[in-house]
Amino acid sequence: MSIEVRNLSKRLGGKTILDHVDLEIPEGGLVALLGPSGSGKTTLLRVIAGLETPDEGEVLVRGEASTAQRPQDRNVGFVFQHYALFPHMSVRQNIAFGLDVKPRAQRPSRDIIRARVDELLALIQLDSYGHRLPAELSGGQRQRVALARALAVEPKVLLLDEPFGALDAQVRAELRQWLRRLHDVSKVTTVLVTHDQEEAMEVADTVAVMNKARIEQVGHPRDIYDHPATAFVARFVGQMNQLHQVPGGTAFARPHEMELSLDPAAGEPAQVVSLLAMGPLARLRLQEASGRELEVQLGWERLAQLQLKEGSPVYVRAGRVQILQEEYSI
Amino acid sequence: MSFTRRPGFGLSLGVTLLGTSLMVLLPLAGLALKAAHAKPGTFAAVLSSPRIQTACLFSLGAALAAALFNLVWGTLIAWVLVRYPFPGRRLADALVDLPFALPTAVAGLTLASLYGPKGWLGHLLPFPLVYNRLGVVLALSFVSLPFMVRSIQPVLEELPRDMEEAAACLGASRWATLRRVVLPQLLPAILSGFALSFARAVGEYGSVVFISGNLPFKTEIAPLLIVVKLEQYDYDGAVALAVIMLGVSLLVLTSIHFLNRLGSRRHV
Repeated sequence: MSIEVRNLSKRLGGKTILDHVDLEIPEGGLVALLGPSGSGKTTLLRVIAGLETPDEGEVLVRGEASTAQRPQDRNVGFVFQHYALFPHMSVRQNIAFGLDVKPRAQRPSRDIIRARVDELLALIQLDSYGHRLPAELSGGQRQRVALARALAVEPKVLLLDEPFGALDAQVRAELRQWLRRLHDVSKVTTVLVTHDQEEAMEVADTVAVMNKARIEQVGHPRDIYDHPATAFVARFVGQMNQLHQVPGGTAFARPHEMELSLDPAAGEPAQVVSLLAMGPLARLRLQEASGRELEVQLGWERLAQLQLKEGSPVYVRAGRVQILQEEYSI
Repeated sequence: MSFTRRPGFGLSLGVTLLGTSLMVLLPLAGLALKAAHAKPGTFAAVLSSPRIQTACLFSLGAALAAALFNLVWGTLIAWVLVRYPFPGRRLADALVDLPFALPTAVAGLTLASLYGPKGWLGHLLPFPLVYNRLGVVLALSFVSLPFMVRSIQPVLEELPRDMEEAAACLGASRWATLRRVVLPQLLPAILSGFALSFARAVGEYGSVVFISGNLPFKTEIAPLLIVVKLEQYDYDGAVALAVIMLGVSLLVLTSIHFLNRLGSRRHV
């Protein structure tokens, strides 16, 4: 295990921010901590980096207990949402900073530092930008420089705190894929904090969903989507129809798992409220007699068979129903 | 040089220039005019007087010393006020402005009685702190301290904390972070606080006359000599001395400004 988080708790001003959190991150993995704001994901990341001290529990990096270590001694790379580049230093100086401040005995020679900076500039595709100041770069370029700066010291783990949160959608999508490729090349164990489920699903090989200071589910993105462990995960990740309460919890079904028919015996009566047919999939919003609204996704062929329009009556049933509890319990 | 005229430019520039002229430029021009009409030889006489030379050098030296003292002390105060939440911080923050509000003569008297040989603190001190040059520096530091604190405080408040956290994660010690990340960004504010402190201290009169003892060749400051000359109806001498002090202060302030520009350009 590259990072082990054991029984971590933190309270601040009477509020529980982390509540007995356990997490194991394998060497070379790319894990996303996904959750709404206030769920404790950033605090968990900061505790791993040593920027916050937990009240209880411990963090092990490569088996080494590091809870008592200062951030300076942990050798973790940290990338901040707002880049945190040093504005008075050039791109080169920023990237070289971690090497420049090493104690004299461990500091590489000037030539080695220069070569390492060249290599990183090539990696982030900013070869000719070395002498610019951070203020002269775009947001996406700045964040790439911040990544290069963190990678320069060859950290044991790379921690990214909402790294693309301050960027616009298109740049965000590009950087996401770039990060994934970078990880495939560098193989540095990476933890990414995000509130954007698409980002988590696309980039990470493991997603840990956090809610109210706890981790509710850890798993492969596909498993999280197909088999959510709790009602919260079901609602938070992807679209979900909340059907009805049952004794064991709440019944849920994904929009693509809903089945429509014109036969009154094949489901509950409902009416099409809105219909968006674009590409191979059509998105429908239905309203049942009870007033409850349902999201449905249909293939265009089926839509053509049913000949639905806005206002059409239709009969709906859930093909696969999952019963989930509100609270996570073991 | 070409520039586009923005709406309201003429009126606002006119009003600003009028105000500045009435309050600043006109009195300074009057001073220069008066100096130009002084008896020939006045400047030479003033410049060659050993008593005036000593006073001018002491005024500049004491103002520099006070500004340097504030550089360290004021930066520390600003740091503590911004970075540490403690009970009574707002009160402490308000107290920093007190030297602005207090009549400087009151400040001088208070310092003189507090640190005087029989004062509450003065009798505990192993060395005298009033009626000597150290006392003058003390008074000048007191009256110019708020300039330093108030110059640095807003910049420090705006300085993002994550920059220091980034430096720590990269392995930089607290000291290296301070020296290589924080101080370079505070430098323009520190320099401008230093310049303001210095300017304030050079012109200070009220508090110094009560604490210095006004001993010729020892603790006399240039503004005091100007008053002395005025009392002797030597207006030309007073004006000449004023112009000399003005010139030297202008030179020092311009060099600090230039240094600042040089420092910020180096990074581009």
